[in-house]
Amino acid sequence: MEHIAHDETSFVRPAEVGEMELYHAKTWLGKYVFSQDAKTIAIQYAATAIAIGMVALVLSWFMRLQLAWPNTFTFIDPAYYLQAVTMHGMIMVVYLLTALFLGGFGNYLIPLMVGARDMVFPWLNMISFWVYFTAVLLLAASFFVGGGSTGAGWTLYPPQAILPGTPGSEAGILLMLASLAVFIIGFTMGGLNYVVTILQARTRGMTLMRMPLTVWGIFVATVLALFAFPALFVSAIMMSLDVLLGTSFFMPAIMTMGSEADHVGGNPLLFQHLFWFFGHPEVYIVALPAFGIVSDLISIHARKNIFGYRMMVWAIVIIGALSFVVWAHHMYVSGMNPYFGFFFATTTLIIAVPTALKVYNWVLTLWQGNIHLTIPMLFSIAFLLFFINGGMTGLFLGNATVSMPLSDTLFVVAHFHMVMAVAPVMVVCGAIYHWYPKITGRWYHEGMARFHFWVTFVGSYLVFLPMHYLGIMGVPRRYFEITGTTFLPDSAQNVNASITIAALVVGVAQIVFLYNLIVSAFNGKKAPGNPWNATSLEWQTETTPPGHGNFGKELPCVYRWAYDYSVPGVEEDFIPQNVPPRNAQTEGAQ
Amino acid sequence: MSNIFTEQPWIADTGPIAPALSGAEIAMHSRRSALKVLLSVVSIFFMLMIVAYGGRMLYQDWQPTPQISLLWANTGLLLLSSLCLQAALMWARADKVHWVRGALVGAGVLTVLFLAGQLTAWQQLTSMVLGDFSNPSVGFFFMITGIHGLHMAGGMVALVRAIRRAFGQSDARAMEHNVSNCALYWHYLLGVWLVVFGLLFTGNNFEILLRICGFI
Amino acid sequence: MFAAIVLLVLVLGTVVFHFLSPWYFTPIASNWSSMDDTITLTFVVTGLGFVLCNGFIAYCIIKFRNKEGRRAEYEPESVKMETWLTGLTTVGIAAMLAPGLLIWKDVVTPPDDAMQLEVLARQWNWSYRLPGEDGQLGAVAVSHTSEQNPLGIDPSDPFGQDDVIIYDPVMHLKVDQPVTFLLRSTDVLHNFTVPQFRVKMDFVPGQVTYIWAEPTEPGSYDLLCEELCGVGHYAMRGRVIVDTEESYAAWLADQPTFAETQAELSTDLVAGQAGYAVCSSCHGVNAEGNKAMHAPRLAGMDSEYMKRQLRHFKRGVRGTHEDDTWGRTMAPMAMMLGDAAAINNVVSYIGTLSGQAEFDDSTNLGLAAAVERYEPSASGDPAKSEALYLSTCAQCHGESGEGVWTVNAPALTGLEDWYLASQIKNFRDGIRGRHADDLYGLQMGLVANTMTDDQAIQDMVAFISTLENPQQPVTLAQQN
Repeated sequence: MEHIAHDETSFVRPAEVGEMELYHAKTWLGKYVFSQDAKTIAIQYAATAIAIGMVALVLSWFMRLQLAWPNTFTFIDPAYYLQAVTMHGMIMVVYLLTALFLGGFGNYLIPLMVGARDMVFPWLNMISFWVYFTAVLLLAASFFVGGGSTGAGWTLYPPQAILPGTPGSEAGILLMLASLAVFIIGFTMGGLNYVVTILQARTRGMTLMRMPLTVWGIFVATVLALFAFPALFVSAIMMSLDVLLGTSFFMPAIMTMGSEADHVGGNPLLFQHLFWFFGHPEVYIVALPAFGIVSDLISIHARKNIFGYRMMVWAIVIIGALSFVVWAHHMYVSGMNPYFGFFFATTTLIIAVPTALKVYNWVLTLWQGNIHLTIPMLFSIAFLLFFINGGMTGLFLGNATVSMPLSDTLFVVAHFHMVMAVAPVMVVCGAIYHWYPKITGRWYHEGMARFHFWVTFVGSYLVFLPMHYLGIMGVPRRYFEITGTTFLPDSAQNVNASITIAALVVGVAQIVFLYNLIVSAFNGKKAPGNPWNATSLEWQTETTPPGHGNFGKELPCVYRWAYDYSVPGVEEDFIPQNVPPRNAQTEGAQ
Repeated sequence: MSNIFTEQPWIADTGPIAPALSGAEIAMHSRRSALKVLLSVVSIFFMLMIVAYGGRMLYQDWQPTPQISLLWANTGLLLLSSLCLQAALMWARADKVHWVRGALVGAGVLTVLFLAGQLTAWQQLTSMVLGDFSNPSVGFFFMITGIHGLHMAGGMVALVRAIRRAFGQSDARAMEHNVSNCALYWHYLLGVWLVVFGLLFTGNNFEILLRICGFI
Repeated sequence: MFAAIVLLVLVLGTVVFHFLSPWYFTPIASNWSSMDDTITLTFVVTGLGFVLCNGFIAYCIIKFRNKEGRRAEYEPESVKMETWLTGLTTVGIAAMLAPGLLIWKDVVTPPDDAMQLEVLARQWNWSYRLPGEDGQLGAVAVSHTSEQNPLGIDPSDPFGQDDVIIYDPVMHLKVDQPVTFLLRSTDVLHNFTVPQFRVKMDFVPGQVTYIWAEPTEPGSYDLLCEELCGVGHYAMRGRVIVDTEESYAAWLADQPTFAETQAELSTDLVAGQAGYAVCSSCHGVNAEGNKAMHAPRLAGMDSEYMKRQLRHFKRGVRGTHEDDTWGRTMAPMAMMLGDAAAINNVVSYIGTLSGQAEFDDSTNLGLAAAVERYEPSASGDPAKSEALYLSTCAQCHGESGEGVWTVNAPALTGLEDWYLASQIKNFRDGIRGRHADDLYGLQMGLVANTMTDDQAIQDMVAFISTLENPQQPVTLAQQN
């Protein structure tokens, strides 16, 4: 490790101008409600996403209650059950995880981590949130209209989604489609902001390859989302037209309720192709930010540089690109031309290679590290367990032959909850605990956080591990109840009951989590500006929480990557990104 | 500049660091790259609709949309408005303020005429015998032309702002950035329209393409 | 340290759970054991990866956790190690993918000697069609579909005439005979799954999809729909019975061809009247029913439903449960009807009857005590059950209780309240609809399960009596 000594004045040219013109809010409303500060918008996004996510969590309790003790809770009838299934899935995937990772973490962390004053289009950013908020309201409204919300499953497959026989086939489905369309419009505004901020507003010295992996994950996920959401948008428009104008995009000649429908010549599989062309990248829209964030958490709390940074970046990019050519692995038994199976099974299993590499690099970052078992680190380790487990079952479902007996069973449900529900949620929790001192300037209650971790970690595993075996036995998904079969042992019901108990316990732990977050924001111990001794720029701000404009008078200048932990010859075990080489040197390095 | 493929990020900077950009420069670059990103999203959007159209075309019962000759005239209008913007850009670079203003207004008027023409085409189609919605190609026609029209209408918002700015100042070179963004958007949507119109709504061109590709 | 131990416990617990728990695949009954083999292979490869990765993490936590004076190593990357790991992973993945692709080739290519069987899925039931003697299935279209021609076979297509129609969710297959299932839906997406066969495939309306299997073990297997198809999805059950060659032939001989089902449509009312004589002693001369005898009014009852119930009584599918007192009374009566034509005639004759009582049955008090169990409570509150009716019951029986023939759901209007209450209770309590061949009964039973207490049933019956069926102007309330 050799540093060439420089005279700092020749090394860094002074910033020539005040970097970005910032909009300064004059009214209370402009500062806290229609705020154009990315940090405030981030908190608005996160709060809205978590609020609607809690609704989805409660819906999952209803599902679990019915599955564990069928027909004991009489307000859950078959139609209500399907509505709960649908709304739970759609809210969690789109309105919670997508919005939270990109709108929440993206807004908060991108400007801070790349060294910008704010997003490049603050006004558009503000509008983006309010459009998202409208989408959430439309979605919530569908609970209250006649016929209730849609119960077509989160995949919204036509023809059933818009035919009688499916709950919410009148107003519910239209509100859902409208809400999705609005969400996509809002997201596109936000997404443009994230991408352009990363491309154009990085501070001096912040080359792309010096960005923390968090930014890389959010960046690639945003690009995926920008390119994938149009498919959902198109299918939402087409399905709405089928309902409202009587077009036949997805509707073949069929019978409904005993008589012939007006449609002729549509193709239901076209919807499935469009949906999954969006739907598979959507998995990575949720997973890639989680990959990025967890890389940073592991590196910081193991006091070691992330192993194979460049490989990690390219793995994210390759996974993102490949995710557009694997969509039909959701459709092996959909009735599409079965010969597609050869192609899609191959592409799908190829994705496993860069993904596995990421896992190896996380693990190798722990190797020879100096592991502090802080709350964020614990959640990162939990992420690894869930992600490895879910990744392994992905190898079952990606391989057409192996997936056939398992598709449409609870095995699928267990798999995607492991890999894209629990694993990212572990990262969300870890990330919230990690950045909480920066966002609020205060510490959360450590004991409550540990309680939350252990219950969530062990509880979630007890929920989803046995669920795989229900699926292997052949229990189908989206079944209101499974009595009356001859091939299922009675003990299957006990498995269901135990899963439900675990799920309820995990659910209660989330209330402790929220309580801790809210109360500590006011009563917590004051936190220092860089409590984890981290290197990336958000920890180097003048004030904590960072003020409007993020940094002080001058934007920081970046000299190094974000992973200079335990650099040999340097006394401290970290060197912030904005410390010039000369200043980092000590007597040992010459 | 560092190379993203060869950079070894763990090596700290040893050379001078590029100076910071001014806020105005950042804003200018940002608008341009946001427009480019937006246009790639729009490309995906139209591509998906075209693919869906092609997929539906492979079925036996396919009936193409009836020909509407007005669409040719509309295409001409859109082409002219695109040319106007190109001219405006040239004149902005040559610092000819009055010419820029005229060309911008011309482009706006032509675009409004184009949209009116598209609406008339819709009316014509609705009144035709085959124009009922149960024919999938008609459904596609309304959807694709409608969405293209909405994009043009959205572009009008930016164009009107550019026009207001053009009349509010006398330095044509300061308008260049705005005008060139509008021009890019217009050229691009003209391109989209030519592809959509050429493939989908002027006879069975798309079917010929599918046949060449071996899908039928 | 604690974290490492918990991690190890979860990982080892997973392995132990996998090997020791009783929950695994149901025994295979088809030729697709190769599919099970690839699953086992995948379990071995991924299981090893799972244990090694997590074991290594636990080891790192123990070995490299923060202690006084500990400092991490600094190592940006190691291309060599990453290349090795990538190579190893690729080998492991190829080892799983290659056999998968080879078997997938078999999955998509049915053998030449496979027999063809069309499965028709419709919300929320199954029916089947075999090609008949000419070995070719006739043309079908949604526009031909009607209650008289439920499979929608083109009447003018000569290939269709000899097609064997199985308008029932129970299908028989011959052991060791490969079958290509041609999957057709006339409404929404469905899915064909027999867990013991391992293969499954969706139905897509507007096209015919396929999957093939060779049943290898005689037995009776559940058929499930595994693609969400609406409210009745979970109750869309069928049954596949794998027969030996002889019993399959015997079963097949009993199944009607399309031409035969069409011929049955003409009926003989005179013969029907004669056949009804025995029924009239309980159900009344005008089919008005007799509450004291617990004989429901038959006038106004759905005729396809009556035919199916008579067949069930005859075959012992209904009226055999020991607690089904009245069903057991009915069963021997149904035996007196000779064949399908006789059933058809009687039902047609019932269709002509007025349902008006000739005497006041309230004087007939002999069996009043026995009826009590079924007495609907006057406290039934229609408002309480409206939501459940509209969200669930109406999906099959129609919003005004008119019945929907494609679902095989009879009209509910025109049925007496005491009869409705007693049957819903029987369905719920497993007294009716639990015979292996009575899959519509099972369907109703699953739905009746949602009405856990008797009051809910009373409320439901009270709500049904408020329904007005536009196709049947005289409502129950008005008749009473």
